[in-house]
Amino acid sequence: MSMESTQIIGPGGAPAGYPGAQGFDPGRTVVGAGPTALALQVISGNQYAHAPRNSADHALIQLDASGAAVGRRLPLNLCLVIDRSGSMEGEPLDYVKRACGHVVDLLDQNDILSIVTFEERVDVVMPARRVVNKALVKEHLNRIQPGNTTNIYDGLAAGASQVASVRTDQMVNRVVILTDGEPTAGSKDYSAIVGCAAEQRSRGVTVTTLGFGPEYNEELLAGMAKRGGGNYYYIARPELIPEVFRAELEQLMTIVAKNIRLRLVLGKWVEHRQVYGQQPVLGPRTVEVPLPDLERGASLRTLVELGFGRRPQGTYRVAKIEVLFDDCITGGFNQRLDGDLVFNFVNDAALVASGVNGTVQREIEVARAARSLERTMMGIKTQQLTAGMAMADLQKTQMLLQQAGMDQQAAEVTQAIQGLRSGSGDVEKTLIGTMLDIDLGKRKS
Amino acid sequence: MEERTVIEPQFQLPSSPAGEATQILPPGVGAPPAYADRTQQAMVTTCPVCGTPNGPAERYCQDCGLLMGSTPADVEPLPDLSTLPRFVDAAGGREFPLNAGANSLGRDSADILIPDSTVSRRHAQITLDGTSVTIEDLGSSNGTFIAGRRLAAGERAAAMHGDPVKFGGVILTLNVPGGAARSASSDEVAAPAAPAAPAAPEIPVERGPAAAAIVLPDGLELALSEGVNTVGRRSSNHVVVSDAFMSGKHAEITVNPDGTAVLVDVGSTNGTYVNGQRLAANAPVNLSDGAVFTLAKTEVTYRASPPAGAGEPAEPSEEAVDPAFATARMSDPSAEFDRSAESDSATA
Repeated sequence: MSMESTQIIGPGGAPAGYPGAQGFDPGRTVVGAGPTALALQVISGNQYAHAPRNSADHALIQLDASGAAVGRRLPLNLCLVIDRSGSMEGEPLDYVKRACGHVVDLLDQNDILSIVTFEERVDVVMPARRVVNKALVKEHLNRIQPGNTTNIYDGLAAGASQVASVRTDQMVNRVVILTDGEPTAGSKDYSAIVGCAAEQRSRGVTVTTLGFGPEYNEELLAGMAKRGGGNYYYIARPELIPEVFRAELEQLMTIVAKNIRLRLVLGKWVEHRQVYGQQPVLGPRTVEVPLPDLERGASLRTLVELGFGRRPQGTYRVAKIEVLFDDCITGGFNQRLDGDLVFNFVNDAALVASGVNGTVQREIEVARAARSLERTMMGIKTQQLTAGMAMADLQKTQMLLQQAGMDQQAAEVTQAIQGLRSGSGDVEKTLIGTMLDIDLGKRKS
Repeated sequence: MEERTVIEPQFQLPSSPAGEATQILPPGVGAPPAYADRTQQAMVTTCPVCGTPNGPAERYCQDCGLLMGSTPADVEPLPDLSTLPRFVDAAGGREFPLNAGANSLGRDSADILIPDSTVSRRHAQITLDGTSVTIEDLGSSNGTFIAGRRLAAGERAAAMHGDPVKFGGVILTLNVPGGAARSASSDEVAAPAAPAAPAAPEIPVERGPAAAAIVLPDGLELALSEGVNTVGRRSSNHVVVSDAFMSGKHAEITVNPDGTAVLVDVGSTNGTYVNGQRLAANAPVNLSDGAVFTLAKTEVTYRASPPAGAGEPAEPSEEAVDPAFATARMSDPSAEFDRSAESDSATA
C-alpha cells in the first residue's frame, strides 16, 4: 500500500482540524489526486442536517479515473464464450467468427485468449493460451459449426474456468459471453446463472454479456452483467456484432482501475438506508459494494442514503469512506483511498433547507429516472401501459437524463421511443441496458 | 508490570513481610509507571459527546464521528430508543423510531424505509401526536392492515400500542411507550387523544395542578405539582432543567399537601447540594419555603406557592431547548460532562 494513497489530503494541502481552519470544507473531501489511477470525492447531499430530529440524507461518492495514457496496459486474460445454438446459424455465426477474428488481431503476445462454444454441449475450442499464432486461432474459429440448444450456465462456467486457470492479479480477467436465446439446456434457473456470474466476480473474473437478436432474455443477461461486474450490450443486427466486440475490447484495454470495492463505515447513530441501484453487503456498521472496473477518463458515481439519529449539535463524520482497488497504472494492488462524509448537525431547520447540494440533488433525480424506466418497462411487459402512455413516460425520463448531461442514456431512451412508435420489440432490450448504466453510475468522460 | 516484578526484590525493605513485597515500593520506583500512564492519557482525547477515547491521529471521533477539537453546542440527552414511539420489525431486528408529526413509509425515499418488493414506494403515512398514532394508507398495492383490518386507500385509522401493522408483506409491531393498548372496546378509536405533554413514558403519575415551584437563578419559575416531581435534563422528566452537567434523571421533589417538600438525589453524576453538603443518593431531605439547594451547577430556590398565574402544569420542554443556556453552562471547563444519559439508556 503506497503512502500517497492512504494519506488524507485536504483541498488546502494540509490536514486541517477545525471547520474554521483555512481551506477546510467538511462538505467535500478530495483525496488521492496524485499519480494514482483513481481520485475519490465525497459530496454530502446537504452541508447541514437537523440535529434534534431523526433525519435522512444522501451522499455522492465519486471516483474519477485518471485520463492520462501512461505506461503499458495490463495484459488481458479473455475468454470468448460463443452461443452456437441452431438459431445462430448463417449470418449471425459468420459475423461472430469475423468479430472474434478482429479480437485476435487486436491482442498481442502478452494477452491470453480462450474460446468456448456452447449449444447443449460445451466445447473448449481453444484453451487459455498466449496469442502467438493468430492464423491458427482463426482456423479454430472457422471450424465452429451450429448445434442445437442453448446451455448458458455450463458455457459460462467453462469459460470462467478457462480464465481462472491462468488468472493473475496482473491481468484483466474477463469472460465475454454472447447468446441469442433463452437458456434451454443445462441449468435454466435465473438465480443459478446470475449467481454463477457473481461467483466468478468474487474470484476476480468479471463477466460481460452480449445479447443478440430479439429472442434472448434481457433480464438474465443484464443481471449476469451487473452481478458479474462487466458490461451488457444489446446487439440488434448481426452486422453490429464486430463493432460491439471492438467496443468491449477497447474498454478492456484502457482499464485503469479494477476490482474496486467501496466500503462505508458508519458512525454512531447512523443507519444505512440504501445504495441506489446496488445490493450492498451489510455488516454491523459497514456497507460494502463492489464496483465495476473503470477505464481511462471514466467516472463512477455511487449514491447512498443514510439515516441519522438525533444528536447534540456539532460537526460529525457520519461515515468513513474507503475505496480499495487494483491500480492498473502503477501496478499497485489493493490500493486504498479514504474519505470522510461530514455533516454539520444544527438546530436551525432553515439552515438545513439552505444547505442542499445541487450536484447530489441532480444525481437523486437520475437515480429516480432509472426507477421510472423500470416502471415503464414493467408497464409495457404486463401491458398495463399503452404504447402512448409508455412513450409519454419515456419522454419525461429522456428530458431528465438530458438535463443531467447523460447524453448517451438520453439517446438510448429516444431510440426506445422510436422503437415503440415503429412497434419493434427491442425497447426493453435497450432500456434494461440504460437502466443498468444508471444503476452502476458509470459515466464516460 | 513485568519490569516491576524484576526490580522489586532489590528495594524490598528487610522488615516487611514477604507477602507485602509487591506493595512496598520506594517512591522512585513507583513514580515512572504512573507518569507513563499520565502521558499516555494526555495523548488520548475523550469525545465530549459519546465519551469514546480517541488517539491523537483521529480527526473525527471513531465512534460518533464528532469533529475532534470542536465543541458540540449542546449536549442533549441522547434518545433512548426504548422510550420512543417506534415500529419494531421482529423478523428483521430493526426498529423505526417515529418523529412527531407525519412520517412517510415506503420503499423509496421514505422516513421509514422498507426495501421490500411488497411495500409500495409511497405506501402509508404515519402521524404521531403525543402518544397517539394514526396511519393512512396512500393507495398501496398490497395494502395496510392494522391489527388484521385492511385500510381502504386514503383511509386514516388509529393504531394502538402493541398492534401488529402489516405493510404489504411486512409486519411491524407498533410500540408506543405509555400509549394505550388495544382493548376489545377501543377498536373503533379514530380520533387522536388530546395533545398531551411530550411523551413522558417513564412517568406513571398524572400531574396535578401547580402547587409549588422552584426558581432558577435567572428568575425562571418551574411549577411543581403535589406528589412526586422528577427533575433532570431529559425531556421525560416533570421538570426539565437544561444544565449540561445535570443528569438525565437527577432528583425527585415530592411536594406535600402542607407545602413542604422532600428532595431526593436519585444518583446523579454531578450531585445535589444543600448548604454546600452533597446529598447521598436516595437520601431524602426536607425542604421548606425559601430553601436553597444546588442541582449539579444550578442553584435553585424552593417556593411553597405556585408560579403566578400557573393554572395548569408547566410545559417542561419549553425551556429545555434553549441552546444559549446550555452553551453558557458548557463553557465551564472545570466540570466534567455528564454522560449519565447514555448509561441510563444502556441500562434501561
